[in-house]
Amino acid sequence: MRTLRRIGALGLTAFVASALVAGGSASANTPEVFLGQATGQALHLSALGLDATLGQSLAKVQSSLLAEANGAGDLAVLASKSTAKVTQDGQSANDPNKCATPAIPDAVAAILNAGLACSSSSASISAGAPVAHSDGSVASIDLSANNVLKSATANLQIGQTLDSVLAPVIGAINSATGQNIQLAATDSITDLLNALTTTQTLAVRIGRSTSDVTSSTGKIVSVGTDSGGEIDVLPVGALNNTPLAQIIIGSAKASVTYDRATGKATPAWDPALVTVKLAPFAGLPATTVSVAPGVTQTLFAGTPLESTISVADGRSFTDANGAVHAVADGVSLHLFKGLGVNLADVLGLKAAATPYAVALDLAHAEALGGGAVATVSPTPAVVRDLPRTGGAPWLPVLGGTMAMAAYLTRRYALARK
Amino acid sequence: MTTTTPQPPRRDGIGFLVNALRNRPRARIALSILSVLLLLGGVALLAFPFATNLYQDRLQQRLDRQLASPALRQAYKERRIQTGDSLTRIKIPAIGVDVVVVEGTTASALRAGAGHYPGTPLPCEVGNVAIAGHRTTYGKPFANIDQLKPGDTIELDTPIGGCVYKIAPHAITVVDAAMPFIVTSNNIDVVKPTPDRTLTLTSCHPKGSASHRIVIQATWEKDLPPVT
Repeated sequence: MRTLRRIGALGLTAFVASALVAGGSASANTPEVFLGQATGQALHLSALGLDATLGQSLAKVQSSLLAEANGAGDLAVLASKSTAKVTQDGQSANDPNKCATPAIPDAVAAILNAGLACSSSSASISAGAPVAHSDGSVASIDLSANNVLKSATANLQIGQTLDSVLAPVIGAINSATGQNIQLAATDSITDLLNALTTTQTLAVRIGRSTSDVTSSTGKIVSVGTDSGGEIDVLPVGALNNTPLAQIIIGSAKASVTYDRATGKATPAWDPALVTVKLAPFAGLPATTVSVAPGVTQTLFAGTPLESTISVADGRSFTDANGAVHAVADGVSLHLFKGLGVNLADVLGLKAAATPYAVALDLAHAEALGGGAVATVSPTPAVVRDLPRTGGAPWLPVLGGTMAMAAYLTRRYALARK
Repeated sequence: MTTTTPQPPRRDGIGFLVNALRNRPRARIALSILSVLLLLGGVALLAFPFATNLYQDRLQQRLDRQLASPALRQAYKERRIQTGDSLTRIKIPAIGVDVVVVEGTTASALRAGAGHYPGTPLPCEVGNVAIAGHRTTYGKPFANIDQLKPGDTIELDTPIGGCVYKIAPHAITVVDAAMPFIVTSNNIDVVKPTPDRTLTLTSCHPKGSASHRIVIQATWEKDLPPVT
């Protein structure tokens, strides 16, 4: 009896020890959480009483099985908005090609023409990996304010000579190129104003903005992209059959890559580069000026056409929740400083906050990503030996021995005499 | 003409015992039952390796279905995989391995063929992911693990994605060992944590013995999208 108790005690001890050694499942105190989001904005336009956001996109994914995308051709027009949202594994949603004409106030409808504003959105969750995409665009913005400008410029006091008007431009060109360009003297700014009052004012062609967030085993990638565009000032070639100025805006991109294994988010940005091509006139050669990120360039300073181009740089920051943001801040164009107040008077509009007739904000892209890896509770497993995965080779030998013993028993012990 | 004379009864020990048993009806019945039991037991033990392979094959079918289930995917994301449940699929093209690995390395869990060491990172995560596999019996998925060489690839496919490891030229967690290498069964250094994404495979060595372990270590090569 004592022996049995000893055997029982040993067995119980072995059982408890083996339970501790074997351990349990890969449990965790907190599961993994992550968030990825990207936004893009092709154009914000403030002109002649119109304040419109065109070509906007947003995409978002979350670890709580959410994939959501929202796009808008014109933020103010419902028919141009698209949306897609899924919250369960194996689901997908698609809302393609939602197009509508942008809303334009009656007061400026005669001079402002906008092409179709469109958007698309899609979202899906496959094998636990959420993916979202959206894009937004507007085909074109054409401003033909020449008739209105004719009335407005009649009230302007034009006393500047070309020398004083274009001196800042010439200075910038000479500084940038190392040349020593001299003006051909006494032409008047009136030439420009004549063109302004007889031809189309602006032609804006912008690319689409796209937002993508994808997730995979190792990472969450959020990317906001704006394809840039081109703005032609006096586009129909009133001066030497070319636009007075072509402002070419490169693409802008912001991205954040979140590493699910380490919980680290890495931002990156690629701000838009801007190139301005000035038409040859008044003795000036055709000139190309690059506007680097972080620089503000003023054109036609001191004239009613004074315009500024501000190219913002990219940046990144971490918010209070620990999410990392990357921003490509975009390009701001403020055009025709001397005409804003006069145009408002002519059109009977409330004076704008700035004296500029047209304000454009383009190529803004932003992305964010963040999260936390799962925290695993300290495992009770203590590996003392590597597990057995190939022992007991004696079992077939024992089996053979037993079979042989059975045969011998029947052959000799049970054989009839 | 030849004559035959009856042989005298055997008087040695075994002969006496045999004769004594032969002449007792109850002893004959007992011997008969014993011989049948010995035969059945012997056949069962001889068939044991084949039976384990059959069992593992059927178990793998169930684990395969479980690995593809949404419930397991969610449990995996929440790191709630229980011992014996499907965890990942391991593919080693060089030796034709393609089996589901379960969580845990208990004898019961390892009846699936291969099991993930509890307490090591989940597949494809940072750290030393360790997997043990049978070299004989239970499908013997790691039977030819000794034939692996540096550069061979090992793929793990989890419910939320996968990754590929490439076998390293030398051991990662022990010093001065070319791949594959042999350690004693208590050398747990082979599964100690690593700062990078590493995979360690262990199995018994030599075949049929549990005295030593053969070890393969590999480094992360690339991620793979989830298998839908």
